[in-house]
Formats: sequence, structure tokens, C-alpha cells
Amino acid sequence: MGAACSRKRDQLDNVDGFDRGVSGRYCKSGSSKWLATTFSRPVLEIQREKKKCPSLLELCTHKIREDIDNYVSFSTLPRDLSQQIFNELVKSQRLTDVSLEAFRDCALQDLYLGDYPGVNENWMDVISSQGSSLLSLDLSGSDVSDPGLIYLKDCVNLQDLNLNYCDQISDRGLKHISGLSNLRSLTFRRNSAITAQGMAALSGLVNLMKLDLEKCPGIHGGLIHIKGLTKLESLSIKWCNCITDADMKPLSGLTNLKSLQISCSKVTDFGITYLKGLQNLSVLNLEGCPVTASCFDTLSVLVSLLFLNLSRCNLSDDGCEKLSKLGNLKVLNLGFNDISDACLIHLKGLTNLESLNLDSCRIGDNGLVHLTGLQNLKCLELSDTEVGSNGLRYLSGLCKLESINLSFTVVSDGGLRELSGLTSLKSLNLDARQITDAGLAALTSLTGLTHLDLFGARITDSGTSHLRNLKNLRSLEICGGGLTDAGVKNIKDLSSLSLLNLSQNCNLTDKTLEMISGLTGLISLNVSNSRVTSAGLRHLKPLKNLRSLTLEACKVTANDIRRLQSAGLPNLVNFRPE
Amino acid sequence: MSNQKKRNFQIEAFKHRVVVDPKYAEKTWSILEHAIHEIYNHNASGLSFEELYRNAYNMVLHKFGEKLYSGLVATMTAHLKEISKSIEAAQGDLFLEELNRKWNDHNKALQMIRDILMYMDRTYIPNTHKTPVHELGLNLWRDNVIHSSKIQSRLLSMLLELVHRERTGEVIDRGLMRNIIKMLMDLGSSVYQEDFEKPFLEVSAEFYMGESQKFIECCDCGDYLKKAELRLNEEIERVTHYLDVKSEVKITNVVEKEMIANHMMRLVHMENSGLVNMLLDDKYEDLGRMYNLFRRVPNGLSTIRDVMTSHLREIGKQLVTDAEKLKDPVEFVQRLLDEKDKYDSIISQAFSNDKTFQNALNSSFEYFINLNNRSPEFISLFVDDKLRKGLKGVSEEDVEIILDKVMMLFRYLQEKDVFEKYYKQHLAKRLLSGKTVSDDAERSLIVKLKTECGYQFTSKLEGMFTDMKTSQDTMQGFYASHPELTDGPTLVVQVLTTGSWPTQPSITCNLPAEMSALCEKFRSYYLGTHTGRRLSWQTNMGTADIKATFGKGQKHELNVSTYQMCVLMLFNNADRLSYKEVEQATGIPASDLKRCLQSMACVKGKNVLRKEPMSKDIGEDDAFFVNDKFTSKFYKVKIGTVVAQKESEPEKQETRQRVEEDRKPQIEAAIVRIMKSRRVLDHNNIIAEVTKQLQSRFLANPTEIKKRIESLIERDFLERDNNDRKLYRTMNYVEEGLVSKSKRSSQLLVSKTEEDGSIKILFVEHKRFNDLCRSARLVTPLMIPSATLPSFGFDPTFTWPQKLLISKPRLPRKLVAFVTSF
Amino acid sequence: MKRKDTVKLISTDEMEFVIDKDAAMVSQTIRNMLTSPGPIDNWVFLGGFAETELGEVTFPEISAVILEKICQYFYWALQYSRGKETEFHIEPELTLELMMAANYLHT
Repeated sequence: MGAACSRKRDQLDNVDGFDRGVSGRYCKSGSSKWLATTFSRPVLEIQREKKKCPSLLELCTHKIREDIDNYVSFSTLPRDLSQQIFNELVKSQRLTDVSLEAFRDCALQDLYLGDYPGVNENWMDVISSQGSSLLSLDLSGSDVSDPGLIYLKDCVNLQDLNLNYCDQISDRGLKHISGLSNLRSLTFRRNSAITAQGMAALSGLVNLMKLDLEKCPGIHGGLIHIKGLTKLESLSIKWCNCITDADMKPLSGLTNLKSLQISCSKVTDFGITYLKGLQNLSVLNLEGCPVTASCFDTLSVLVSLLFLNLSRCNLSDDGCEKLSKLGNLKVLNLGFNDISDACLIHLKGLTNLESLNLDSCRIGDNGLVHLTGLQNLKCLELSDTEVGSNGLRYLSGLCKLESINLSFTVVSDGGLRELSGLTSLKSLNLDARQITDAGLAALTSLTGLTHLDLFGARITDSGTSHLRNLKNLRSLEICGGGLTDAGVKNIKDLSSLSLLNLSQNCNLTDKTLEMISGLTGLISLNVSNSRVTSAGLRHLKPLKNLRSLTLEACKVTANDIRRLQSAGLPNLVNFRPE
Repeated sequence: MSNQKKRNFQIEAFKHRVVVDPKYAEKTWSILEHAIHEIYNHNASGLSFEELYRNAYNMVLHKFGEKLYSGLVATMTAHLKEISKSIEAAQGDLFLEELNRKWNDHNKALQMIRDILMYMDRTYIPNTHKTPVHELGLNLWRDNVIHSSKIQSRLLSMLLELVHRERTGEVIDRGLMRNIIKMLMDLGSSVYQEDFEKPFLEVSAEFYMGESQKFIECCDCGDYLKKAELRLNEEIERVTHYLDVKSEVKITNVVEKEMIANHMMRLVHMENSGLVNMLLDDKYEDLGRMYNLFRRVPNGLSTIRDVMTSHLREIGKQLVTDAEKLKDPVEFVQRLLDEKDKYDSIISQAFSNDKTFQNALNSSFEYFINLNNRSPEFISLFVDDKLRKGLKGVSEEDVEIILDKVMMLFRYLQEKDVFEKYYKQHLAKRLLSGKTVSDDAERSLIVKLKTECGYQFTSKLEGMFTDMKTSQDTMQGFYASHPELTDGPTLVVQVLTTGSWPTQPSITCNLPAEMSALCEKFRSYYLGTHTGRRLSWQTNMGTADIKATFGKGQKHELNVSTYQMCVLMLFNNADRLSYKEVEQATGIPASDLKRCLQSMACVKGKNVLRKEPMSKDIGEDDAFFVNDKFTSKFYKVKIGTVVAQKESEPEKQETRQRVEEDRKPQIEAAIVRIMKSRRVLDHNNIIAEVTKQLQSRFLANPTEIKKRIESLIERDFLERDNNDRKLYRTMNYVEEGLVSKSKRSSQLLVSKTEEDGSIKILFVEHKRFNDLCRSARLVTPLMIPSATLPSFGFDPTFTWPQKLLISKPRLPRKLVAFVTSF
Repeated sequence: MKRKDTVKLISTDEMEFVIDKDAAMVSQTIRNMLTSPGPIDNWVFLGGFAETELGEVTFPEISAVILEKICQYFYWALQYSRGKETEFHIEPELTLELMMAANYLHT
């Protein structure tokens, strides 16, 4: 029965590129940071939720799923029930073009078939039979082609339509949906066939609030057609490298826009001037655009602007004094620009900043003095900069800081004392060779830490004793090579851990696996390049929540892990060696 | 096989009844409508829940949700209009009872209606974003009953009337009141606020405005506060009985504003009963009540604090400036301590140890103690008194308490260095006269001073103790090496290190021959073991015990000062001596001699001498005789002991001058320290920083600081900025500078400016010199051709080669002066 | 008012099922039938529905076969919540009708 409540339709805002939590440098080999972000939230649910008694309705739905081929039609069932059956079939991947037939004329409201295998032209007839009841449709990644969209003409109440990655659809197909004037959200990611001409079909969609044309390389000149869509609140044309300054002009009147993503386009300072009137704009992503400091003149009049991404824009210190005009910003990404300490002085007045990214900028200790007044800062990214121990004292007063990334900086043990008072810290990245056991002693007061990355730090067994009180740690990486089984003793009681990476410590043995067998919250475990053997795998059986296990370069084969998986780790979806 | 068979069946869709009857919806709704009527009429027991639920269920399934919903709204509205009328008809007090009864009815009916329409609540309503049944029922009750024109105002005035009656002492039906108020809250916080809370607060404000006016005219401050406290508690209690908990803050705010904030000044300053009177009479209970009430209103505590502070300052000012009270320093300090105790206990008992009050107390004491520049001296005298006699028979803990109190007063002193001066003098006298009661207490106080002011402050005081100990050992050694000295006079010498003791340049008086022979022996003994030292006798600081026999053979032991001893010994060979003769024979300075004669000839009970003419003062023409008639009931008589006393005016001036002299280098050191780190600073900031740095020791005088700056400029430590005369900068050489070539050609002399501004001269190797230059961030290490350097101990007229003067770092033009003055 | 621990459920074909009240109240709908208007602190007596009074409910749209299955489910659910997690068997031919009834009974 609850099916009707779980509408995805209402989700409109999706601020990608502005990850406020642990920053994403996922690509580092051996480190499994992607898990930290993608899996971290469901952990609690998995661990704590007690099994609830299934309702009779659910039991019936499951039964129907099992015998689905025996059902001819659900059209006489109340809509809520047929919707529930439909969702169950999609979830379990039991829906086929044959079983779909039973849903003809069921007046379904939501058909979420995104990335569902086998969806094509032939499905469209049953889809269109839902008629005016249909409110949202997701056909992402399907083989539906232009003629297939003709069927949608009858679905006049359609509000959300998702056609991402449908490479069979072109301008002609767009024409068929031009009459769906109730559409509120339309997404069309990665479509190379759509051109400016085809976009004329969008001009009639006057209720559109969200339009996503990410990675559509042929739409240059086409934005003129959305000029009249004044209800538009969110527009993404990122990774459309055909977009130029001229394309910005039609956007100048879309004053309801709240989010605009034009990263990796050819838009320059001049193009940005067209955005002056967008007084509701709060999110602007300009990553990789050839803009200069001159664009700050325009950005400073955008009174609602809170999130600004300027990474990889080749900004230099020239003209950076204009940054000081952006006093409202909460999130600012300046990563990978050619800016130095001299630029940071202009951030002094941005006291509303909560997140600042300076990844790989040419900054050092002296620049950080200008950050002392940014008392609202929660997240600070300093990876790959020249920042050293002397600079950290300027951070010691930023007591709201929750996340700092100091990887690949020149910070050494002595500087970490300055962090000991930052008790709000939840995430700390100290992936740097010069960090050793002595440095960890300064971290014992940071009991709120949930993520600690010591990937390359030279931590030995004695250093891990400083981690014992960090009971809230959910992810921990110690891969500097100096750890032995004795050091793991200090880790085995960190019961909140869901991600543990102890790879590259070649002296760890099966004993380590035995000791961590009590960490039942673990979702991801990596002990690659160690002396772990297949005999030790049995210790992992209590780790019922484990979804990822990496034991490369150990005496363990893929088959060994598979056996473990079938013997008692049903949640394991990702393992190496494969 | 059987499995195979089972799989082959086909499931036909469940044959759901298809509605054909065009009047289906009408018919079904009328059944439900009837049921709703029955429910309101208390006739539900005849209804089948299943039937009603099924009908509603089917209506929703067959897409008649809208009809069902709008029908419900219409029917319920009609019922509520009826109910509203019956409530309106209720007379007098029955009105509230009727309202409450009908509200209960409606609530129950609403619950039943919601239950039979559950399916609509579950599916139709969320899909169409309509108001759920229960909330709908409450909204309709609000609109049709509570907000009906004939009920709304009547309800409000009745509620307010009940509250008023309760405030004036009547007993009301709180249960009914609670039910009605709860109804308003159930209808949503905005209903409760608009329909009751706001007007309630307004009426309350009016009530308390009137009442407080009445009270303030006829009550004294203590009584008024009692009444206000009572009212406040009543209101808090009222909230717990029948109002929303969130109202507590609001209603207490009203009472606080009307009864306290609006009359704060008048209460505090109320004649004969205000805050000052409470303080004077130690009325802890009233003060505590005032504190607890005033803390609730803005600026309440600061008002109390301000009045307390100004009163305290007034009292304190009288205490420290009243000439009458200055006569006895011990009494003076005791009064300060008593005052402090009084306020400490007021703050702890009535003001819940409020830190801000403690601070106010401290700053007040600091203020008035420093109004009298004799405070440091008096505090030291107080200590002296305690350590001489006051602590006899007092337990160790009590000693600590007294010392801690003294330390507290010491902390208030701005001129801690003046205290140190006096303390040193008084301690010296205590030690030398052997009059200190407790060595432990002495040391304990020194430890306290050390923790308060640092090692420097007490190092000399500790040196004095060391000297005392060493002297004991020395005396033992002396007598051990002179066994022949068992007969005759005994000499006890205390060897004092110059600098540690407050020695005054004094002329050694002429000792009696037997004594001076003994002194000579000691001198040769001492210098024999400690070569290279110089001994000089401080005869002004010693004491002596003499056995004396008077006219009728009465024998006494007289305890006198060394000076007095010298005078008395003269009378072994003479009956009568004139003042001039005494002066000439002893060589004692006139002022000391007069005092010493006075104490032996003019004090009753101690008059071992007799003088002519008899008078209280000593004249230059006086003559002195042994007083044969001297009597005393004690065998031992203490005469004119060297008791520390309040200083006389010239002595005071002298001490002050010495203090000022001592401050100069400290101020200079502070300036140098600050300028070394700041390089450039303007005048006002230097003053501020120096004052700050020195405030733990004394309050530096800005004029003096300015003089010190000038002096430093003169000596090339600092220079003025060429454009801005108010701006000073350090001369670059301060870190290190080259001074001279040493005797050995491989070494160089380098001067280094120390923290305290003194200059240290170092011999360094060439190589090390280069390092030093680099560490001082010199552009190029300076190498000076040896021919151009003066030899060690050089000629002050030597001038530096021009080339050196312009190189960086700049060398001081008057470096020569430095070195010679070193 | 008599308070009984059992309740009688009657199908459209007049088959009677007497089951424990606890079991019956697994269904939210039956729970409401038997308890509405619920415990309101109230001194005015205002009668409940007929079902509350009689301790029996008639379902004119549910057949005996389905009602029996539903009663089985009630007891199964009670056991499940006490930790005995067994399979609940449903005959394929009953699923749709049972689903409708489950929806009706909110269970």
C-alpha cells in the first residue's frame, strides 16, 4: 500500500559537484574511498533495523512475483495494488515484455524503468495505455527510439520524464513530446543526436522546472528555445563543450533559476555577464570554464549565490581581490587553480563560508593566516599544497571545522598539536609520509572523528595506541607499511568502523583477520599485500554486513572468497581478486 | 510431474464488482451521512463499523473520494453549527461546562468518523494533498464553534475573568480551566496564542502594572521583593496547573518587566531599605532575593553590581584616606581584611558566588587600596606585626589563612615593587633582631610571593635567609677556632651579602674597646677563610645584651641596640656626660643618637639614664647621668628595640626615590623587549604595552616611560621615524654588533644585547662570528681589517671607519660609549 | 459491557471463525472496529459501534476460503513477531483475492 507514497517525482534539487562531506579523490589505487561516500549512510540501517513482520499485502506481492507469467491482467485491481506489484517486479527484475502485458490499462502513476534491461519500442504500447494517470516515466538507458515517443501523446498529465542515455532518440523524437505541457522535469543526459533545431520542441513545455542536458554536444544555439520557460529552476548543460557565450544570452531572463551547471563549456567572462539578472541563483558550477577574475564582477551581484565551483578555471592571483565581493558564499571551490597565498587575503571577508576547496593551489603557511576569521568553516580541502606545520596554528581557532584534508602537504607531527582543540572534527586526512606515531598523540582529543585517513603515514604499532579512544571512527586507513598484528590490537575495539583499509602492511597475518572479526559493522575491508592466507578467511564469517573485500597479492584466490561469500556473507557484492 | 502441472494454471484477475448503478454514489453516501448523524446523536451502537468502512472503502476505490470528502465537510459543518448554538444558549458559568462537554463529544465522534473513513485517510487524502480527517474535524470546530461571533469574545472574557479571580484570592475550577485551555492547544498553537495567550498577557501586564505601583508606594524594598517573588511563583504555578508550558517564559517576562524592571532604580535606591542598607546590615536573605529577581531582567544584575561597587568604593575610600585610621597600620590593614570578608560572605551567601560580582569586588579593592600610596608599606607592616607576635600560638592552618589574606591584598597593589622594598626592610629587621616567630610562616609567605611574582621578586629575600644560616655556621667556626674567648663579652656577627639586604650607607660608630678587639679577631678569622672579601660593620643594625647594676645594687639585664650599648658603656667611666661628649665619643649620627638617648632617658619604665633638664626631647645642651633609681619588676629590660615603624615623611620620600630609581632599568628592559619583537611602534602603543607588561609589578608612569624612551634614543637603541615623529623604530644592530678585536687575533669581540637591555660581550672565533652575522640576517658578514680596529680597552675617542658606518647592519654611532660604560 | 478475549469473524457465505482478539487485531481495520472510538477520558458515555458491543464482525465481501487464509495469517504474524520466522504459504489461485482483502483489512 505504501507504494504511492514513495514518489521520486518530487526530488528536484541535486547539487552534484558540491559534495560537502569527505571530498572525492576516489582514484587512488588501493584505497577504497568510494565506499566511504556511497555506503556510509545505509550502514546504520543495516546494522540496527530489526526484522519487521511482512504484511499480508507484501506476502501476496511476493507470491505474485514468483508466478508472474500466470497472470493475465491486473487492470481490475485497485491502482495502488497494481502499482505495488509493478514496482516489486521492477525491483526484482522479473518484468518482461510479456508480463508487462498484464499491466495494460492499470492506470499506473509511476513507471520507473531507468536502466531496466530490455526496454524498447515494444513496451511503449502498454506504457501509453496508462493514459492520463501516468505522472512519471523513467526510460533512461533504454532502446526506445523516436517513433516510440509518439505513444506518449496520450499521457497528457506526465510530470517527469527521464530519457538519459537513450541514444536512439533524436530531434524527431523530441517533437512527439512537445505537447506534454504538464512536464515539470525533463532529463536528457548524453544525447549526441539532439540539435538546436530539435530543441524547438521544448518551447511549449511551459511548466518545466528542471531540465538536464548534460553531455549533449549538439545543442549549441538551441537554448534560445527555452527562453520562455520562465518556471525553470534548475538547468544543467555541463560537459556540453559546444556551449559558448552566445548560449548564455537566452538564459538572462530565466529569473527563477536556482541552479545552473555549465562546467566544462566554452563560456567566458563575457558569457557570465548575461547571468546578472538571475537573482534567485544559488548554485553555479563553472568548473573548467575559461573564465578569469573578471567574472567576479558579475557574480557579486547574484545576491542569492551560495555555492560556487571554480575549480580548474586557470585562475591566477591577478584580479583575485574581487573575490572579496562574494561575501554570501557558503561553498567555494578554488581547487586546481594557479593561485597563491596572495589570493587568500581576499577570502578574509567571506565569513559565511562553510566549505573551501584549495586542492593543489600554490598556497603555503602564510596564506592560511587569512582564514582565521572564517569561523563558520566546516570543510577545508588543502590537499597537495605547500601547507606545513606552521600554517596549522591559523586553523586552531576554526572550531566548527568538521573536515580537513591535509594529504600530500608538508605538515609534520609537530603541527598536529594545533588540531587537538578542533573537537568538531569528523573527517581528517593525513595521508602524508612525514606523519608518524608521534603526530597521532596530538589527535587523542578528537573523539568525534568518524573518518581518519593515514594512508601513507608512517604509522607503527605503538602509534595505533593513540587511536583507541576514537570510538566513533567509521573509516580508517593505515597503509604505510609499518603495522603488524600487534598494532591491530588497538583497532579491534573500534566497533563503529565500517571501512577499514590496512593494505600495504606486509607483516599482517591471519591473526589480524581473527582480531577484527568482532568489527561486525564493517562494510569494506582491504588487507591487500599482506601475509593473509585462505586459512584466515573463516574469521571473516561474522562480518555479515561486508559488501567489499579486497585481498590482492595475498595467498587467497577468487574461489576462496566465493566460497566464503556463499557460506555466510550474502551482502558481499564486490571482491578482489575476482 | 506434479510441479509441472501446477505451473500451468492461469490466474484470472479477481472479479472486482463493477459499479453499474448510476445512483451508487448517492446511495452509499447517504448511508454514511446517516451514520455520522447517529454518531453525533450518541446512537453509534446501532451501527456496523464494517458496513460503514466498506462503504467508504468502496467509494474511494470507485473514485468517489471527492464526493465522500466534501460530504463529510458539509455534514460535520452542519453539526458543529448546531452545537455552537447550544453552547451559546448556556447561561453564565454553565457556558464553559457546556463548551467542554460538547468538545468531548465532538472529539469522540471525530475519532469514530476518522476510523470508519480510515481508507480515505490512507489513500485518497495523501494523493490529493487534502487535510486528514482528524485535523479537518479540529479546523471545523475552530471555525464554527470557537470562532463563532457569539462564542469567541465570551470565551475569552470568561477565561480572563477566572484568572483574575484566582489572582485576587478566589478558588476557581482549575480542572475545567485546564480542559478548556487544552482544547485551545489541541486546535493548534496559533489558536491558543491568538485566542487566549496574547490577551492574557496584555491583561496580566495591566494588572501587575497597577499592583506594583500600589506596592512600591507603601512597602519597603525587602517587603516589595517578597511580594514580587510570591507573584512570580504564583504565575509559574498557574502555568503548571492549566496553561501551556511555553507560556511560562512569557508570563514570567510580564511579571518581571512590570514588577521588577520598571521599578529597579527606585527599589535599589529606596531610602532606609535599599541595596546599600541591605549591604550595611548584612541582610543575606533580602540580598539573595534581590539577586534572584533582578537576574531575570535585562541590566538587573549590572544595576546591583554598580550600586554595590560605588558603595564599596565610597566606603573603601573613607577607609584608606581617613587620617585618623591611618595612625595604626595594623588596624588599617585589619579593617581592609574585615571589609573584604564581609563582602566575600555576601557574595557567597546572597549572590550565588557570581563571578562578575567577585570581579567587581576585586576591582573596587584595587581601586581604593591604591588611592593611598602608603598601602604597600602598611601591608608589609601588617605582615611584620603578624610575624613578630601576632602568630604566636596560632595553628599552622590559621597562619596559612592569614598569609593568604595578605596575599590577596598584595594582589590588589599596583606598586608591588614598593611593597617589596618595605618587605625587605622589615624582614631584615626581623631577621637581625631575631624577632621572627615562625620560620615556616616566613618561608611560606616567600613561596607565595614567588608564585605570584616570579623568582626575581624573591631571590633577594631568599638570599637573606641564606645569609642568616651561613652566619650561624660562621660563628660556630669562629668560636671553635678561638677557645680562649669563653670569658668576656660575646660577639655574634651576621655576615650580610651586599645587595641582598637593605643596607644603608652608614658610618661605623666607635665601639667600646673590648668590643672592637673582638671584632678585629672576627675580621681576621673571616677574611682568613674568605679571601678577597670586604667586611664593613653595620653598627646601626645590631643589638646587645648588657648586665647593669644600679644604685641600690639592683641588677638587670638590658636588651639594647648596638648604639645604645656604646652610649651606656661610656658611663662605666663617667658619671655625667653631656650630649656633645657622647656624640664625640661614639661617633653615632646625630639623628640616631637623639633617638637612642630619648629611648633610654625619656621613656617611663625604661629610663636607665637621667637627663638634665628633664624634658621629652633631647637637646644638644643636655647632660646625662645613670639613673640610680631605675627600677623594674623584670630582670630583663628591653629598651628601645629596633621595632619597624611607620616611616617618617623624609624616610618615605627616600624609599620612594629608591623605588623610582629601580624602576628605570625595568622600564627600559620592557621597552627593548617590546621593540625587539615589534621593530616599529608608535608612542601610544609603546606606552600601552610597557604598562601592560609591567603591571604585575607596578603601574608605570607614562612620563617616566617617555623619559626612558628618550634615553634609549640618546643611546641609539631606538630612533625616531623621519616623517612621523611619534613613530619609533629599533636600530638594526640590536641583535649583534661587532665591537673589538681581542688580544688574540683569532678572536673577535661581539656585543650582544640581552633581554633586559644589558649588553653582553662575547669572545668568538672568526668562524662563529660569521655564523652570528648570518643568524642576525646580515647581508654580508662584516670583516673589519684588523688595522682599523682599536685594541682592547680602547681609546674612547676612536671613530669608526666611515665605510663601516654605512654598511648594513648599521653600527651604533656611539658604540664606544656602550663599551666603556659596561 | 462484556469484555471477551475472542472475536467472531463471519464470511459472506456465513462461515464463522472465532479467533483470539490479539490475532484479529493484527489487522488495523479490525483493530479500529473493536476499539473505536478508543479510550477517551470522558465522563459522557457515548456508545461504540455494534461490533464492539457484539464482539463479532461480518464481512459480506470476503469468502470463507479467503477469511480462513487471513485468520491463518493473523496467527502466523503473531508467531513471527515472537521470533518464529517461518514461511507463510499462499496458494497461487488465491493471491489476487487475498491481496484485495489484505488491502481492505490493512494488514
